[in-house]
Amino acid sequence: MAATLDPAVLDRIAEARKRPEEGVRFFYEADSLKVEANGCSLFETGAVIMDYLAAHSNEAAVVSAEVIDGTDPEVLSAVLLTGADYGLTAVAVRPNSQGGGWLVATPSGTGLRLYEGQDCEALVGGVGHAGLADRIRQANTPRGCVFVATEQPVKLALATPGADVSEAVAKANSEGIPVFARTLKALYGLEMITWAPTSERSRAQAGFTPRSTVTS
Amino acid sequence: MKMTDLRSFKGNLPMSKTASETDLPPFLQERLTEAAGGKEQAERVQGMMRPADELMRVESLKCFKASRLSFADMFSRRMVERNWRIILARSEVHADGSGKFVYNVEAEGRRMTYIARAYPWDGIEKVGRRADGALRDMFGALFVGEASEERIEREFATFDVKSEGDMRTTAEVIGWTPANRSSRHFDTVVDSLAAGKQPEADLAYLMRNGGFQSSGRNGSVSFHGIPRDHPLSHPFYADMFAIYLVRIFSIDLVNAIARRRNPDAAQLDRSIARNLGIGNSSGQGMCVALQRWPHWVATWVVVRELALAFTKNRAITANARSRMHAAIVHTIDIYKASDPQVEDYVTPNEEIIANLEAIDRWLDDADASSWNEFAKKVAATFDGETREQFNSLLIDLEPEFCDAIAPWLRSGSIRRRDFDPRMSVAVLRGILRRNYTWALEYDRTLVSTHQCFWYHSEDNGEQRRGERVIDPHEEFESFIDHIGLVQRLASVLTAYGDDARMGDVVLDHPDLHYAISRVQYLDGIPYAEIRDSVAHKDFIPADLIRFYHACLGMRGATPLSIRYVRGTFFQAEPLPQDLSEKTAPQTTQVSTQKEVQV
Repeated sequence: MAATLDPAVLDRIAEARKRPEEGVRFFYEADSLKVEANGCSLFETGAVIMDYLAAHSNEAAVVSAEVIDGTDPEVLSAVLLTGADYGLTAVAVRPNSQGGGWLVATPSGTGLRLYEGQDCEALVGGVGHAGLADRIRQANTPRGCVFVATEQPVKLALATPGADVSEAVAKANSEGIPVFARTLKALYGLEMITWAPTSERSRAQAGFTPRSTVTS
Repeated sequence: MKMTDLRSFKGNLPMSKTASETDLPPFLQERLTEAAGGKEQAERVQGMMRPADELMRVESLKCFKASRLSFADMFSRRMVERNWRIILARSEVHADGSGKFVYNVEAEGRRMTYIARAYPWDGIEKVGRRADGALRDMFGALFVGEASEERIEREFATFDVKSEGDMRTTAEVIGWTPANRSSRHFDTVVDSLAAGKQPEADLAYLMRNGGFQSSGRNGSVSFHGIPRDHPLSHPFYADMFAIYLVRIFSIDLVNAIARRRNPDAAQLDRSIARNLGIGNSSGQGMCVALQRWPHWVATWVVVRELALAFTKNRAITANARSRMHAAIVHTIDIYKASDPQVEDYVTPNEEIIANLEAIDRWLDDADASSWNEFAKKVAATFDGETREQFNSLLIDLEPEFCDAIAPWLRSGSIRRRDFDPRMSVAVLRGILRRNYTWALEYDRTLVSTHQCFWYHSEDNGEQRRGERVIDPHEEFESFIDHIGLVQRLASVLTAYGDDARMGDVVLDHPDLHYAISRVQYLDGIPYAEIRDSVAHKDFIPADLIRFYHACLGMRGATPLSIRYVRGTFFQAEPLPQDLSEKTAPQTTQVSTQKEVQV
């Protein structure tokens, strides 16, 4: 979904590195989920964070999480859209180490809409929800990436028109997503990591050999 | 997060619902009520639908036979009824058998282009397996719309790259149709025609389908990107049309090569050409598809079973008896014409023929008042394959009702697999109790129950099946074991309190995200899961491949090994010339596979 809005995301994914051995730690602190990503990708942590926030979104006006030392901030839009798909208005505030700025994803009519900007004060002023605004203000210079979400209605009044995600997905479905050959090759390489080495026995295990030579 | 509830999940579980106890999707319920003539009759029909505990076993599914509700049959009727036109616009063929063909298609107000590129015969017989990569005897491309000359030439140039991974198309293309020659049949036919003679009449096919590459693969358009009002915006219609076009191309190609060799060469007689289908070999990857898209399986089965129950509820009239008699005679002809070569995994054709003849005799002195009674007698007397063959003929007896419920084959298949993070553990446990008792009670203590692991090979990602402990690479296992997955989910849930949410569970166990969403989204769908272990040592992939083939519309699918099934599509179906003359398609196809392929 992120790639339908920004095909360059694929270039970043194509450079995926091996997962750090230390792995991810989740813990709870002051009504917020904390995630020590230790260099692990938002691919790994992002979706489950949104699942968690959605699961608890009816218990408080605003739910939040912070990811320390996460990587691949390019997929933030996809992470937030997962939340918006659950009916949340989901905000991410990036740390300065990852370029700063913010993204908002929200349900809109029958689809989803994504907004992006740099000025957090402008976001506070335009988010249209007191609880969200407070929490965003607190996250103004975060150590990690801060996620804030609410299932309550919001009245966004942002300077940016945002992107219609459903339209972008429909366009990608019918026209495709432009991608560099080298990126495609690298993505294909990632898929091939899941392929097992072959052998004569392995080839027989496809079953395209006469019955008499197959033992199982 | 609460993790205090350590109550055992299993124990005192209620019996799972039978299909007849499960609500039909509203669309089907409405069509049934209308056609049956009221709620009471509709309930009676529903009561004749077999329970999932019986129907969703591999032993039952493997016996399914093609019917009016199979995709190839529906697609053929559509081509005829809606007056499709397929015109060979231009062709060029060289002495070595290579060539380029361009077809124009007019279908329901839309124009499409199909192009086909033939390569010289390299002397290598190809089954059409994924590991073959770009090693094919032909490539074709079906465009969403009408393609320009420049675009056509660009696609031909792409084919000539002939290197998997380096060949890319665009979203203007619905898919590619790689295919391979039947070495024996193809050359035999060309030789006969070049000599001015017609070939022998009972050939099955000239080319074999090499796997329709579509829905995003190689850069082709996504299925969801095909405009909703496009005639191919329906599950498997593009696939069916693609292989139909390969069939037409194969006929045009032999005619063209023969003419190239001898300007006075004969051209294939239309009746012989009509009897040529397109060969198809399928491997065990089809089982993986069935496991990954269980709502497809559920959709196909519920539509078929409902149609069957509807007919069973009907009285045996003289007219219906007569039509059944004709259908049996025709079906016997198909079996007689086929040559399965290997019958180790199927009911032998001779046996099915004898059984159908017996059923036909029963028709003459039937004392049953309804088809339900008759079908019960058939089921009680004969094997599963005979039973399901007869059931398919029963389905064909009620074409109006079949056509009324057929739209569900599209609607039911495009369901999204959602995940509900707010669902409580208590609710999910309830779903598991309701829908998965059969899986939770499955005894996996014996290694044989999950002895096989399925994996993709570095040979182009080809799907293969190894044995745990014996074969290395178990860490490459891909998903197939739904029973193991559900049992693990139930086991993990014992560590959570009733109030915990799915969002909590996946934070701790992200690997269970898929399991939870599978259980969630299939809830309420009749016939949603295959109720056997596909990872079992004794599971025969060919059984589910045959089920898949029956749903697609293949006749006479026969396994050549436990993991490899072949058959023929579109044999005895209309040719483009027939379409222009609006010839009704046959309701069944002749299948004669006479070639050993490996």
